[in-house]
Amino acid sequence: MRRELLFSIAGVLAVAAATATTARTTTTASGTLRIAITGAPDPFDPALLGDNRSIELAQNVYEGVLGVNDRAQIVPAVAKSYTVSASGLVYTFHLRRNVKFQNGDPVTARDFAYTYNRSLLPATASGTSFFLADIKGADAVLNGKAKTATGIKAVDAYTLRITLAHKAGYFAAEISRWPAWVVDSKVIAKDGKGWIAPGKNIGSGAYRLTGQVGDSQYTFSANPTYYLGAPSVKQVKVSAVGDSTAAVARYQAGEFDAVVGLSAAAILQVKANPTLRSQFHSTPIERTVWLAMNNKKPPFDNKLVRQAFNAAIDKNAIIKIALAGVGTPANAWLPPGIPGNVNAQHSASTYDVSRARDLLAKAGYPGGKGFPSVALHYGINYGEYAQVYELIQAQLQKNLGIKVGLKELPINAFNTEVDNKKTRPLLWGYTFGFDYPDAQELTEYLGIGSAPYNYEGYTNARYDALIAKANADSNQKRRAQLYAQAENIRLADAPIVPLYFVNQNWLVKPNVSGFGYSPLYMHPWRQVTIH
Amino acid sequence: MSALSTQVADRREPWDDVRTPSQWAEAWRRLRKQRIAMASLVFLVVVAVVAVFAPLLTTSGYSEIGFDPLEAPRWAHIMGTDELGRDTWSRVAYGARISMLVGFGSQAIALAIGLPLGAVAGFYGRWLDALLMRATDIMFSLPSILVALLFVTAFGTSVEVLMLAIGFATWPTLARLVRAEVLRTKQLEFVEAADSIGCSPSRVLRVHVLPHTTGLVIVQITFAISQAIFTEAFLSFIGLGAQPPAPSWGRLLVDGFQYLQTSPHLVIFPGAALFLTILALNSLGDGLRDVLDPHRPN
Amino acid sequence: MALYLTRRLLTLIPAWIGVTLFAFMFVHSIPGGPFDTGAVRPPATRAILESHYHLDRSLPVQYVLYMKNVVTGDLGESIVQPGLRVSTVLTQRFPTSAELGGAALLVALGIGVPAGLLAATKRNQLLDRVVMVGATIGYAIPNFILSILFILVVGLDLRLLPLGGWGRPSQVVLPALALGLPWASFVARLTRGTVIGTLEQDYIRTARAKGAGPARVLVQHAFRNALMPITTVTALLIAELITGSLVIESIFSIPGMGQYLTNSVLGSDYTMTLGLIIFYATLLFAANVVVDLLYVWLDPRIRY
Repeated sequence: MRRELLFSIAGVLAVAAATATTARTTTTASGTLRIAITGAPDPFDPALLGDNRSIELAQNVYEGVLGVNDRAQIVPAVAKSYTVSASGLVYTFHLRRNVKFQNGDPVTARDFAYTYNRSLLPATASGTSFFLADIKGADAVLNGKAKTATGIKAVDAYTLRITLAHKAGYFAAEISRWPAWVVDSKVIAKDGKGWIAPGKNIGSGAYRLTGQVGDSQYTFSANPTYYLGAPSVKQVKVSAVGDSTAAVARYQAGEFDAVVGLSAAAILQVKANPTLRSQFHSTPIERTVWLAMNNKKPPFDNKLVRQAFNAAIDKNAIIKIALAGVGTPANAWLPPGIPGNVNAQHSASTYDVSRARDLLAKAGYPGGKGFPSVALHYGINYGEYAQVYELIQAQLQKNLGIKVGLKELPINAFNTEVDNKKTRPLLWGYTFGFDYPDAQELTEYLGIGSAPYNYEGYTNARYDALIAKANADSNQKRRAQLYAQAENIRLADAPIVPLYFVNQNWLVKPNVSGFGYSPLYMHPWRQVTIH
Repeated sequence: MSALSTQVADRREPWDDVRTPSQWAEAWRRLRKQRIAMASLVFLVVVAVVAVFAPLLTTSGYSEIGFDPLEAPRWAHIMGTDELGRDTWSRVAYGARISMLVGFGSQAIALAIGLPLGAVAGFYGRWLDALLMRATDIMFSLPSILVALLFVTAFGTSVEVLMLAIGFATWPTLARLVRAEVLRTKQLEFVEAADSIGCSPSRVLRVHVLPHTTGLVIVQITFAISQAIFTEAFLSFIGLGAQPPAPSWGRLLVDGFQYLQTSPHLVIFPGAALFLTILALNSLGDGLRDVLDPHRPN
Repeated sequence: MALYLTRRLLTLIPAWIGVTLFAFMFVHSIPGGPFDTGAVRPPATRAILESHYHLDRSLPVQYVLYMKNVVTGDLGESIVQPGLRVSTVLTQRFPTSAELGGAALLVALGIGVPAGLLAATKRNQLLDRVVMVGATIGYAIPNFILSILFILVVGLDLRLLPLGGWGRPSQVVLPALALGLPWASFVARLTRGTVIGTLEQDYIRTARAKGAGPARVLVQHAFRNALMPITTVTALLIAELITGSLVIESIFSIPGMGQYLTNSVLGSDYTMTLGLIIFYATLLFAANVVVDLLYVWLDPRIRY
């Protein structure tokens, strides 16, 4: 849901008009896929990406040794296989021999070494260099003391050996992401900063960025020498349409084959139209939204109070009313798709008003009497999420008799407020979206006692120990079990109230197959066929 | 009667610009005769009463969720309910407070800063004009959202801060307009006449020149009040406006917008309230201007 | 005149520097920075980024570093969208905003001035009342609702004009109307008020007494004088309309600058915000100089 949430009537009514009249259908040239997204992507330098929208597009242009499949599992990509040493410290990637850059240069292990070092260099200013920071010698590069990391070695043209500085079972997940997508050093040397311009842009993926109109239309052309075979769809045109209901209207008129990221208002209109309804899809992605509480200060230092809040909030109502029914109720912290998530075991609804009232009474605030004055803080980005919190406020009042105030701020100011110990609220709304499909990212940065973003102040030594063990283990099955155990411990302590997992949603024409979303991102276009 | 009647008795002399207490009373008497302006005044008073006595006039609070959502108007909820199940009439009634406060308050501030600044700049000219106008130019260059963000993050999100922020963002417009008018008026003969009989410059400015800006100021202020209310709506959209669930009219419009097709009452009622209030404000302003303008019709 | 112009241009330099100073201070006074979007990264990575963009240096140093680039014409790169140059955004987006703003200005003046004149000449008659009520309606409705009404009526029922997008001349009509009509109302009321006020002046009566016909009186004297506030408003409108409106751009899917300005302010994208403000301020200063010169041309008695 983006800012068009509130300003989408143009398309709302246009949808009505378009259905009332015979839609102008422009038959798709059998090789062109036309997609509407909600905003312009960032320039396509893999080291500098950060925004989901950009990454979804760029993943078609660049590839790494490993990639992510439709179920957000790590699978080989440019590497046909890889091995992990018994110590868990050495990863050896065996590259395919037939992978070429889009300009014909062969992709070798040396190119990967170059790419990783480049992403680590402070001069590149990559915000996600930390995906590679577990490599031996990476710290020296990050501190400006070296230009290359000692742990990165191109053993020969098609063998890449990475030695880690410490055990990290999540390394495979990290290396599948964009700072590790291979780039051509010759191109960068020649074109400098301009190398990402359409036409000059070179990756090793199935598509190449060949055209751009302002920042609202991007054209990608199929790479005929792609190592898995030339893709079926010859051209992809991506348009940035700020107002998603206008995008829906144009979709109906035949201008687009797919529209991604509809606002709640657009979803309401789509659901009211039988044709569109049948073409509408949504799936949970790896992003959790939760109600956070300051576990170190009263009244939330009392577990009973936190549990009372957990039982008093009706998550289904929130999704139905505030999110137009598009969302997945969350009773756990790790979202679906992340190995180690325990959602299947906690799928029963936690909403139980009488239990909530009991718990609150036991905590010393029967009927809400004497409950200290608390404000629910949250950040918004153009109208998103505000109704979620208004609804929560009302539910708390009705179910527990507690009056919480609401305080909203624009996102950046809000994050600053939460980050600063002095201004940190007692109760706030927060969210986290995974960059790579591994529980380590959430638990290490937000979960454990010493985590930099553990604003709730939750500490549990057993939890921390399990997480540390899981992070270091290279056996993926074992790790998942450890994370699951840790999750259950955490849930029993109820440090937060998980609310929902965000759903990505999209419209796609019935004659287009293979288009959709994994728990992480849009499916790669090479899987798409237009009939 | 022709606006250019040459009857001697109606000629305005420079000294007629001075307001005496009996002249204010007379102005009020004349205003009472203008029916539309009076009707507007009555309407505005009604709105103010509703705003002030909202708790007495509504049966449910503006944040009470529990009724069936998106219900069309009926006896229990004369304006229907909104998407979260709140009574729309309550929200419209309480909304009057914030919208009126922000609208009027911000323009009172803009007037307090912009009017003297523009008048002084235009009248005294030279370096004072250059200084003040460059300061105004600087204010113009800063986007109003930046000013609002600064105020809100520094002072919090109360209605007073919003008034300040919007007032601060809008005074340059008034200053520029007043300055233009003063520049034009100060050249006129009667001003020179006043000057020649020994009136001090500040008196000339205050008594002879400023009243000519009345009409323009009224037009600008009534326009700016409506814009201020819409600005508050936009600010609430990005998290800087009146804190939810506080229902300013602008916010009601913005929230109810997406349901225009399915539940138009969410937009119609606050929209009508807003529209009628601004209409009344304008009519009153027109009436006031006709009454206070030194060159009023006969 | 030449002396005035020189003096004026000289005062513009400190004013322009003032803008950069104030904008810089304001932008950095807002809590939060470009890296507070909620994206997770270890403190060490954040330190690297902040050092790269000089955000770890003191404010005066940052200001000097920034201005050094600006005076050589380099407005820098976005911090939030690395690789995106401010100049690119300006060249991509400003022409669109300028076109839309210009069209809205035409609507505002083209409808507002004649309407106001008409109302002034037929003062207190039916036409006057009708025009004035129409003018009030124009700005009593927020522009996002106005946009919708247009789309409803013109786009849907009459199917005359496209409902969004940019590039064809027909796509300018609806957004320009939505943006310009509230201002047309304002201009109409202003014109009417000023013309009426001017018509009362003594010298008009003198002209009439000397036998000048009504049309001549109106055009030559009253209107010419009323042009002053109208010119002021034009300058104000240029300021308002040129930077684009986030609302209109969103509803009509227009790739304008309004979105960038709002997004960069909210995202604390210092370079982008400052770059856009400086560009905008330069335009504004130029427009105001032209306006002040126009004042003198319109009414030669004016002295500064």
